Amino acid sequence: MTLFSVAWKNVKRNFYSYFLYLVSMVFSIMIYYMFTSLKYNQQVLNLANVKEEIKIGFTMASTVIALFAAIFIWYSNSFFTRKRKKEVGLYSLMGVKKRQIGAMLFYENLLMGLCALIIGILLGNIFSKLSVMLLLKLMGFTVNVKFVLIPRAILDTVITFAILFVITSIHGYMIIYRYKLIDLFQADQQGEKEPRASIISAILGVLLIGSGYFYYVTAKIYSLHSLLYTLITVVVGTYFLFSSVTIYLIKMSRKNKKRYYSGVNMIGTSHLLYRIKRHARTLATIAVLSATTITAMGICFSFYYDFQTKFDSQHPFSYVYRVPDKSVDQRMEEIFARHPENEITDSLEIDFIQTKGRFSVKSGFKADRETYVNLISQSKYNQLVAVTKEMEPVTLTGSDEAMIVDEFFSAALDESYIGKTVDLSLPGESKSLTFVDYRTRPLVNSYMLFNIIVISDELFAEVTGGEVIKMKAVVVKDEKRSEGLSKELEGLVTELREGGTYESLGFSSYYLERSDGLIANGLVIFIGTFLGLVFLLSTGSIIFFKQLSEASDDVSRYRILKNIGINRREVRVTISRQLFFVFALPLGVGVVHSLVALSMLNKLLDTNLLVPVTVTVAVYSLIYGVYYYLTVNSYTRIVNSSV
Amino acid sequence: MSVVLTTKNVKKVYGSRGNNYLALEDISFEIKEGEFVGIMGPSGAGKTTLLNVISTIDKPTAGTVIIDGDDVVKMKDNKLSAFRRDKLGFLFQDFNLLDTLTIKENIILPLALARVSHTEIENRVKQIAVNLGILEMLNKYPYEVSGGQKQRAAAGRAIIHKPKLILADEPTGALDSKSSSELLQCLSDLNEKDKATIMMVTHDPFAASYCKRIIFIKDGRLFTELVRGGNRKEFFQKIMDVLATMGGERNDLI
Repeated sequence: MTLFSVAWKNVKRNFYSYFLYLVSMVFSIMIYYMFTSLKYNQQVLNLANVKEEIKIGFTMASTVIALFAAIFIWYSNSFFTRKRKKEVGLYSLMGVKKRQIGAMLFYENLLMGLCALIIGILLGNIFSKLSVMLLLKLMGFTVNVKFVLIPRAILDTVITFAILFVITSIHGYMIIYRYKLIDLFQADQQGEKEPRASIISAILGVLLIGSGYFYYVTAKIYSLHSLLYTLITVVVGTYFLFSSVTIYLIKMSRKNKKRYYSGVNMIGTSHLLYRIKRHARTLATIAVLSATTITAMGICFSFYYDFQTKFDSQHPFSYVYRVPDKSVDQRMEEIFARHPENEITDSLEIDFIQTKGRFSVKSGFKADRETYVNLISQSKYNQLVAVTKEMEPVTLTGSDEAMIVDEFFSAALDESYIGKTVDLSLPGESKSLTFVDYRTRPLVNSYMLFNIIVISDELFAEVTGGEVIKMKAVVVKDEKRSEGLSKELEGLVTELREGGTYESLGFSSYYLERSDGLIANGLVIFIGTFLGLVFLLSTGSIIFFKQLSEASDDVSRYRILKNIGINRREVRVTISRQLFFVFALPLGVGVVHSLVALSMLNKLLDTNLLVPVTVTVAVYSLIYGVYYYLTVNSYTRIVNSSV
Repeated sequence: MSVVLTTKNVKKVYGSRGNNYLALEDISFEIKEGEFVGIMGPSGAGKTTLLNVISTIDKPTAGTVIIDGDDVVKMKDNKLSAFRRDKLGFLFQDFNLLDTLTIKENIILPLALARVSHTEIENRVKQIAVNLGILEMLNKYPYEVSGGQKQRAAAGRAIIHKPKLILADEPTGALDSKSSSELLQCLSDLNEKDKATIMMVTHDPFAASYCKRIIFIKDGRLFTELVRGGNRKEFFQKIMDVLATMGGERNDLI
């Protein structure tokens, strides 16, 4: 019998406890492979005209996966090695050299790694076409996807993970060397002291998290500084919270004698209390990991959702472009004429007068600063909104009144414009206007013109100074299928811009901006979802392993209980309740953290993110719940089987 | 007095197909309410097997075991758990206290499982703790008290729910001689004052001398029976005599 065959037998025998480890590893490898092969997929790269971004995106995402997989494999590996302390001790006692035991464990790890690598790449290939299809669908393309095998991606994956496996295997090998024979045989220390909850640590935890939350929620502007402050206080606070508040919670539940002295409650509660100290750090880590994953996935979904719900209202016109002179307009019209499939249904010429103004608002970027403003007459404004139907028309009573259209206005962060004034610096004189109302959507397409101030027709006619900006806003038929027209118009604009005379020629196309947005958002949501899944699977596996090692410690306790007379069902109930606490608490804290984190997005995007956030939390909790179920099952099986 | 335990022609065979080992054969006896019965025999005589069969942890190959009128051999698993909880009390050599529970919680475990009201629980645990002399230890954890105190706590757990039958498996096996006699005195008192029915498996003649009756088994069969007549010292001598006639290896006996 060679060492290698012993290693193979061990892997087969320990299959069940290795199973989830293998699944998580296979999944990491599969996603890694999928990302790298997408990076090299010519079909994908040819479709999108942002090749470099896609490449960088997938490279970064696959690096994150490799890093995370490294941590996960490292952790699981030392976990498995420690779990088999006694077995190793037995081999030592029988006279097997440490070098040989180490070699055996090394082979085992390599075998596992090899299995995971083969299965991962195989599955990755099977799902690669599906993943390309999904990605392209999210990006808004409808094309036939070819199945391609990308040797470079396979090589890339094999090399990356082979290095990972060798490093972690060496680590496992070293663990063996550090053990002394006596350590290997010592049972886990019995009779730990009842944990004492430190009131200071509890208060500190609550204060830290509370201050982090408060600072974050009340902040008007998010600087890196404030984000970092919140991040640190909340993470540190979470660790304090779990090391003390959990103990309080459990002890409090013991106070209620009526409940505590009833049925199996006593058993589960005391088991929890007994090992909560050792668990605190793991639970806090899981809470932080969950918060990170949910926040990241929530951000991805929210952006996608925000894009999908707001894009149309932010781009009410198919095309908006500046008309610096007649010749430009002429050339544009010629292109429109060549595309009867996208016939013009509405076309508006708009005159803006650009000048400078000083606002009397105290917050935001406009405070105490003279900025460019674009004046438009009331009748033109009303004509525009009659076409777009995105905003209410306005009636100004007198030339001292004005209304501002600010597409970046945030109800949560900015103060209302009503009653505020703007001092326009017109040639020779300065005119002060009072805002009677404000609108928060783009008047033409988003990002075309900022600080649009609607003034009365009389005043508009009087204003002589300032630069007149002529624009054209066009609505065409079938704007969602206007690739030819849009590309041609864009080509002309590029040509004019490069010609030098019209360097800053403004141009906005519904079709082009939408497809660019779809590509970017599709990429973000694709990468975000798979990264989130990798994180979630690994987090779930970590709790699973941790709990199963507890289960083997619990075997003797449950044997005693069974002798006294609790049945299988009661055993299961106890275990489910005990594990529920272990699973639900970090999830709950993680969800609260991420909800607070995402509240900022709600404010910034000014969209109701209830839908994407709820979906994220629900999906995460559901998969997490599957892990809970699996853990309860395995735990019960371990405890029940040995009686 | 009513009969608590009846075993009839109990047989237990281990192993399967050809490679059989006969652990018990034709074991029939009765234990009446209020008795304190010892089971003795050399190593390998089948004492532990017999105890496992009676305590419903193991099933006999043939024969019946009737406890308090119920045939436990025919009972289903779930019902057996409830039966053990309500009708039996256990005392083990290695105490089998849960290290995660305080002494008090360990003692009240059977009552908690039976969902007795907590006021009733508090009353009973106090009374038992006084009787066993462990009132001061109640809020300590098992690792904080001595072996003798642990075993008395275990005895408390075995009797708190007033079981029909208390089964003790070498309860003094892990105790020093002083703790042993204290515990045996406790058991004896429980038997005398509270009319607890106790069946104790032991190979220690000193421990056995506290019993009122002793059943000897050898090689899986009943060997003989001794009933205590006079004082404990005389009884101890009689036990020694029986053990001598039983043969076996001396090392096993003492």
